[in-house]
Order: sequence, then structure tokens, then C-alpha cells
Amino acid sequence: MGLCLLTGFNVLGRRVAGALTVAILLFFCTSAAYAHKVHIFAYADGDEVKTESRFNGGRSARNCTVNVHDVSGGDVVATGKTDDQGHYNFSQPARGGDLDIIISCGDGHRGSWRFEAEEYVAAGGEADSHVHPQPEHAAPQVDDSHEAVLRKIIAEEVENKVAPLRRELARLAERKTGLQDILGGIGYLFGLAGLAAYMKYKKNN
Amino acid sequence: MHLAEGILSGPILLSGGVLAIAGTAIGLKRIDQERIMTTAMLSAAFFVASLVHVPIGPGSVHLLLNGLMALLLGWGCFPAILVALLLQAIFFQFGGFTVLGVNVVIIGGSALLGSLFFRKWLAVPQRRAMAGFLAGFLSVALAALLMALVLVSTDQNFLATAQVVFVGHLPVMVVEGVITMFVVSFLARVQPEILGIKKT
Repeated sequence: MGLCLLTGFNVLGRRVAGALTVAILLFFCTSAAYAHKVHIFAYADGDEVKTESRFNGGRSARNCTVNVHDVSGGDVVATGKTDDQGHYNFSQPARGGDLDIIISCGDGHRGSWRFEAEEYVAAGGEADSHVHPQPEHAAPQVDDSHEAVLRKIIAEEVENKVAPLRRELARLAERKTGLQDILGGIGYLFGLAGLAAYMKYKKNN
Repeated sequence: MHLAEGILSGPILLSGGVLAIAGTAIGLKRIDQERIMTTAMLSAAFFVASLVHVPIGPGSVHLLLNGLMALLLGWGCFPAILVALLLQAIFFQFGGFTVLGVNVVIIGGSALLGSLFFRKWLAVPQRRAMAGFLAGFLSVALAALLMALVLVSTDQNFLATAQVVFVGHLPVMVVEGVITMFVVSFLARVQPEILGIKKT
């Protein structure tokens, strides 16, 4: 019985090995295009929180619903739909708590991003006074309004420079599917097949 | 086609799990020793096929090959899909553990239904290609419908959801039909015993 299985596997094995090679090659030819999960990430920009979302492989997730929950209270802070680029912006909630930003595309795709309070409290306008102690004995010539304008300009410029980095970081944080995962999975399947064959063999004898 | 975690409610997840276990139990009984390797290979094909994205249409969709599996394995497609989906959840983070049962029922159940009438056609040479195409096409179509039906439980509008899911999967249905047709015709020539038919 075992021998019969073995020879059967040999004949089939060559074809299957061929088919699997084709499948794996196909995967690598299209690796830029494979897609499935939806990813969302958020960052603070002035008084707004910006979110960007896309599917694995770079396709932007359009017209998907984004719900923003306050983690502590559980209530919905903001809700809306992504535009053609997969972007959705909302104004910062007054109460500075951690936010759960959840995207669902109506077809079973769902992703989430935890947006921590300190990220937007630090970047926000009014909260600055907490972060930077007011200079008490600073040069009296410096006008307060000038300083505020300057801070705003610097914040905007820094944000512009940092935005691509944020995107890159979010992309790197995603776990990529690689050849190891594929071969690992196939290995498990064949191992299980061996186990099943052994168990059936034991039962039959 | 993989529902993500955190969308469905407890009762749906539970009933999906129960149905998946029942289907898998029947499937395991039906797989005899000679079919084990075929089952594992189709499971492996399904496992990898989900990475092949079909870049047509509005959604994010990929190949399924569930029609081919059910056509060749019958009830045996349940354990094959269960294991492949489990491995996809572990390795690719597709779907998830709590939704595993529901996903198995959506993909496996629809495939079983979609290829039910065409398994007999495999023995008839003139109808073989047609059987492959229809089984591949219908299995994905039914899976899309079933998925929309499941998503209704999350108070989404059925027609709107069905439209999104169904239209998104239309290209996959056609591609899947063509692939299943070619695989069936190819197997009939080189390895007819996999189809359960005699060499002609």
C-alpha cells in the first residue's frame, strides 16, 4: 500500500513540482500587484488628523468607511469615507485620548490603527503650552504673536519633511509575505498529508 | 474573499464554526488513502492562489480555485480549505482565527454547491470543459453571494453589499472559470484518475 502511494506520488510529484514552480514564479512576477488586506495609518497635521489607507500592494482603498473610536470611552469621535486617494481627514477631538481608527470597506476588508494621544496632543496648537514651558525671562522684545506664527511655520515645514518618512515607516511596519511564508505553508500541508496517510495506513492494517 | 476579524457577531462566528467542523468531518471520512496526496496538492494550490491578485475591477480580489477543489475532491474540499485558510491566517494574516469557520463555509460550501451538478459531466468528454468553466465560475459567484449574505448580519444593506462584493468578483469568476476549464481538460489528458475517470 505504502509503495503504491509512493509510486503514485512520484508520477504526480513531478507534475505538481512543475505546477508549484509556475505558481511561485507567477507570484513573483505579480508580487507588486498581490493584494488583500487593507492598511490604514494616521498622523497629526495641525488641528487635523490625516489618515491614509490602501490595500497590500499599494492600491488605495477608495470609498471605505472610517470610524474613529475613543479607546477609553468607546464612543465614535468621527466617521466618514475615504476619497479616491484613500485619504480621510478629521479634526482632532477636544478630549485628548487614544484613538482607534478602523477602516471597513463593506466587502469584508477591515483594518485598524491605534493613534496615541501624545502624537496629536504634541502636534496640536493649544497643547503646545504644556510641552514648551513659557520663557519667563526671555528677551522682552520678542512679541508673543510673532513667536506663535514662527512656531506654526516651523511645525508645518517639519510636518512636510516628515510626512514621507511616516508613510515609509507605516509601509515597513506591515508584515510582508515572502517566499519563506509560502514554502512554510506548503511544507505544513505536505507534512499533514503524510500524517493523514500514516494514520489511514495504520487504521487499514 | 477572506472576511477579516472583528466584523461579525458571536452567533454567526459560532454557527460558521459548527458548520465548518461538520463539513470537515464529512470530508475527512470521504477522503480515502489514494486521495490524500491530491487533497494536499489542491490545498497547497489554494494556499498559494490567494496571493495571485486579479488587478481588474474596483475591489481587492484574488484567485480562489475553490471550484476546482470541489470538482476534484467533493466533500474533501472542506478539510483542504480549512487547513489552507488556517495556514493563510498564520503566514499571510489573511482572515483570522475566529472567522476561520465562517470563511471555510463561505468558500467551501459555495464550491460544493457550485460544482455539485458538474461532477458527473467530467466523465463526458464533450461536456468536460464546460463543466470546468461553470464550476469555477459558479463557485466564486456563490461565494460572493454567501459572503454578502453573511455581511448583512452586520446591519449592512444586502443589495449594496452584494453589489460591491459581486461586481468586485466578476473578473475573478471569469478568470477562475477559464483556469478550472484548462486544469480539468489538462488533467483529463494526463492524469484522468484524479478526475475519477478512465483513461480514454
